[in-house]
Parts: sequence; C-alpha cells; structure tokens
Amino acid sequence: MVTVDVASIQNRKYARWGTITIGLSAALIISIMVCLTIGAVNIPVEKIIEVLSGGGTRNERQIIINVRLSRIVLGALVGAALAVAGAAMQGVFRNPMASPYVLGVSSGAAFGASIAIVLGIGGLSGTVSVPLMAFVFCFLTLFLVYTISRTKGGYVPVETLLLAGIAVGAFFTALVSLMKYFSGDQLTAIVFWMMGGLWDAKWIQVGISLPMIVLGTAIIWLLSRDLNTLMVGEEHALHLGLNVNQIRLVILLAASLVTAAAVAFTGIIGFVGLVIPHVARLLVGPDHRILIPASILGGAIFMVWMDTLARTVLPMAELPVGIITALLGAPFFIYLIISRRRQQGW
Amino acid sequence: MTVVAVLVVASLAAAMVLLQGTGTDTDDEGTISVVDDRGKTVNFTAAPQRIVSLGSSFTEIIIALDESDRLVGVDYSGAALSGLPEGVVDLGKTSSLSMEALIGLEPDCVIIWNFAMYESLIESMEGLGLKVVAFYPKNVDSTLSTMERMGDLLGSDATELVDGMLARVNAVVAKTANLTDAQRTSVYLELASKGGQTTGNGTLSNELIYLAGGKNIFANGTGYWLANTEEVIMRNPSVIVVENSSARDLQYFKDTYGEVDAVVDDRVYRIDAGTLTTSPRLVDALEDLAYWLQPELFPELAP
Repeated sequence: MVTVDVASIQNRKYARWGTITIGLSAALIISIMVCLTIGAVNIPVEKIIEVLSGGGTRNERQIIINVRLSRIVLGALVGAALAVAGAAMQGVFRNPMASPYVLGVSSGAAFGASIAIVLGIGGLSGTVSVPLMAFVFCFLTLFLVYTISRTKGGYVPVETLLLAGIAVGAFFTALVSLMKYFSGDQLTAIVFWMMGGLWDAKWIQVGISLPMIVLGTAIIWLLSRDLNTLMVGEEHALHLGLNVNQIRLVILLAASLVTAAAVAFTGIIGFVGLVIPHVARLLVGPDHRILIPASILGGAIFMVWMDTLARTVLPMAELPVGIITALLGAPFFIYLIISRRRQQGW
Repeated sequence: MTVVAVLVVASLAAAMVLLQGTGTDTDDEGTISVVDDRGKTVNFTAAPQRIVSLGSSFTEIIIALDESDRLVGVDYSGAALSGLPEGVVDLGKTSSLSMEALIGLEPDCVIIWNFAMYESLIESMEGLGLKVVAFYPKNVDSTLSTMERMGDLLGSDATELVDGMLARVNAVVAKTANLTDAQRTSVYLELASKGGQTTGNGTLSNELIYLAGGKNIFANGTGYWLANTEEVIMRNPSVIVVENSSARDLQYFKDTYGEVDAVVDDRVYRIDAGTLTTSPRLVDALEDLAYWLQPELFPELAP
C-alpha cells in the first residue's frame, strides 16, 4: 500500500516557502546596497558601508543617507504597499486585472492633490496639504464606492463594487480635468504629481507612511488563509464558514490604507500593483500565504530598481518613475496575456 | 446661342475675379505696416483702436506704452495684470478661445503668440477677416524688438520706453560682461510655475542669469526639466532663486540639499514671478538678480 505522508509534503512546502522568503529578503538587501552605489556620482560599496556605519564626509552623508537611502527606502515601502494591495484586490475580486486603483481611488487621490495644489486647501504648506488631501480623498472614494454598492441587507456584491469604482473614478477624473483647466500656473505641478515620482522623498515621509503600510500589510497577510478561501467562490466560502462580507470589507480597508499611504507621498505609480502579484504567482504559486510575502518583497525590489532607473536614465534630470513602470509594465503584461493564452491553448 | 454662351462665361469669370479681389488685402495702401515673427507683413490703414491681446507680455507692453484704453479683450494671463482699464473682456485661455466671443468684441487687431499650436487658430481668425499679428519674443533682444514693433503698430512712439530699458540693461551688462567664469556666481533656479523645473540654455531666465553676472548650474542643458537632487548637491550652487509664489523656503532646501553653499550662506532669494517674462519688467528681474549675484558690483541696486 502506498502511504501518502501529508505532513512531510506540507513540511517540504513550508520549507520551500521559508527559502523563498529568505531568498527574496536577501535579494532586497542586495538591491538596496547596489542601488545605493548608483547615482549622479557612482560611489563604491566600501564608501557606502563606511557612511552607513557613521563615517564619511558631510557631503557623502548628505547624498547617501539623506538623498539616496531615504528615497530607496520610501521606494521599497511604496513598491511593497502597492504590490500587496494589488494581490489583495486580485484575491477579493477574483479578477487578474484588479489593481490597487480598481475602485477609482487613484482618481480620487488625484483630485485631492489637485485641489491642494491649486487652492491650497488642507494645510499651511504644500508639503503637508498635498499628501494629506490625497490620503483623505483615497478613503472618501472608497467610502463612496462602498456606500453606492451596499444593498439593504448590508451585503456588498463584487460586481457592483467594480462598476461603482469605474463610475466614481470617472467622476473624479472629470473633476481633475476641471481643476487642470482652471489651474493656470499650477498645471505642471498637477501633471507631475499624477505621473508618480520619488524625487521629493524625505525621511519624514518614510516615518509617516511606515506604520500605516506595516499595519495594512500585516492585516492582509494575517488574512491569507481567508483570501485562499475566497478563491473558491463566494457561496462555497460562505459554506466553509467564512463571513465573506466582513472579510472583504476588512481586506478592502487594509488595501486602501496601504494604497493611500503610498499614493499620498508619491503620486499615482501604476502597474506595480497589477504586474508584481502576477509575477509572484508565476514563481511561487497562488497560495496567498506565500503569495503575499512574495508580492511584498518582489514589489519592494522592483520599485527600488525602477526608481534607480528614474534618477539615472536622463542626465541631470528626473523621469517620473510612474512613466517607467508603465513603459515596462504594460509590455510585460501583454507578454503575460499571450503566454497564458498559449498555455491554455487558445 | 454662342453669343449667350460667351456672355455667361464672361460674366462668371468677371464674378470670380471680383470675389477673389475682396478676400485679400495685399492691394491695400496701409499707412501702418508691421512685420510679425511669422515674417508676414500686416498692413493697417490706421492705428488699431480695438485691440485683443492674447498674451500677458503683449498686454504689459501696451500698458507700458500707455495705450491700454485701446484694449477690448485679453487672455486669462493678461486679465490678472494691474493697470488694465475697466470693461476689458477676459477671453480665458487662448487654446480654448471662443471665436464667437472674440468676434463679438469687433477687434481690428489681434496680437497673439506665434506658437506652433496656434497656427490653425491664427488661420481661422484670418479666414474670418481679422488682422492677426503674431510675436514670439524669447530673449532680451527679441523682447525689445517686439516692443518697438508694437510701438509702430499702435502708432505710438516706443523709443523712449525701449531706450530706457536698454540703458538699464547696459548699465548692468557693462559691469558683468567681462567677468570670468570663476567670478560668476553659480545659481540654481527653480520655477514653481513650471512645477518645480529648472531651466537650461535657450531660455530667458538663463540669459538673465548670465547677464546679471551669474552662471546657471544647469546651463549645459536645454529647455526645462526636473533637476536631479544629487546633481544639484554636486554642482553646489552659491545662490538659489525661486519665484515668490513658491512654497519652498530655506528650510526646505536645507532638508533636500543639505549644506550646499546657498543654504550655508543663507542666499535663497525669491523673485517676482511676473518679472521673469519677455515683457518690459525683465529689467526688474535683471536688476534683482544682479544685486543678489554680484552685490559688491551693484550696491546701488540694494532694495
């Protein structure tokens, strides 16, 4: 008789997951170290280590710690946040095209930012009011979409959420166009913000976004099993004892929290939330217990490299990183579609 | 029959010739003739009395020439200027100009920027019988030339205004023309009105910095772009200039660029955004910059 030792299969699986997580974490640290050497002036690794352990000249410390490291760390945080939000959205909606912005929060945030830029509402200085308004409007959008989709019994169907997201998103996009029309001198500022970039990164932004991103990511990761259960479909999940409505709401809130925290400081960076979970799924499989950590680390590594490209590809200038992620992400997504089509023999 | 046919053809031909004739005005004997920046000669039988000025630079020149009572319409950028008389209509943005609103003002002259994107707009206007003069001043010289030609256009003598400006410009240039590269003060210019971009060569701001005795740290680039933070730190500007509409102050630049010379010496200056344009006010910008960049050479320009 052949016995199948389920326990050892599972242990091997967990061991593999452990290796993947450690491997990706190591890749992240190596990426950070390598990208710290790259910039307007290429600084050798020994110097980086010297500065990080407290030495180096004042100018070197300024460049490495205040300029590059703060930017790299913020990039890693934002990449991780968007990727995990994307994975969560794809799980909740059971739709591979879902992204953190699927409920229209990107348009809402853009509107918040544009009224802060043009009208100066929301704070004394632009460095406070723009992120604040973008963050607030992210949640306002989610609230609107959720309220529109809610049926009398408190049940929120997924299809209605998507439709409401499209509608509310379109409305805010129109409002953003209106703001752009009346913006006068501030038009360029709005356009640049919407392209998404890390050129204004500061440690204080890392400090503010870190707790929110950690909180949201932790919630999503702890709900990995429930995300797995959701994959079999709503009715089956209900029969398996899952409070689908409540879990969906919690995951949406957590995903919106990390998205809002990311978008507030960097603008609308696209394709990270869409593409990274897919890549992770190809590499580690669809089980959310490994997919979530893989997305987090993969998103961080991806963003660190993308931002390094953004600050070096043009001489003396900054290219908004959102442009680069879209330029690379869209063709890659097309490739995914085509290869999936071949795989399924279409 | 043949006679009738010949008569019909002859009258058709005559009608065509007559109708053609009313479309063009090349036969007009104008007392005022202006060559605009398209190279086109626009003729007026008399100095225009109902002018629509689609550009704040042009509106400022008209106001400086004391002919603002001849303005009937301006664009959104001109509407904010002081010195504009009552009753001048704000036509909004030129790129979304309403032809109806424009024609309703019955202008006898439209002054517009000679941008490539306005080409079809200018064609439509001329097709509707309006006289359009298109200018494109880009630097000090072309601004002065535009002022002279607008003086001719208005039948008003711009020589005094232009000479006054030239005198002030030359007073600054006389002291800075022979400065060596090492004597020039390095400047980082950040334009809030362009979303925080800096400028390279080929722009008015760059020229003004040079004439004022400075050197733009990004003079090796062209046009406008978002400056790379590390590049600014490496080029270590001695002075930072922002527009007075910018929200960024010394503390911001200290946080972003650390201890560059401009931060250490507290040389972050705010310039009036309205002076960094191709209008008569560019001399104000030049004098402000000259004092900030070369204070020892220009003690008389202290505010």
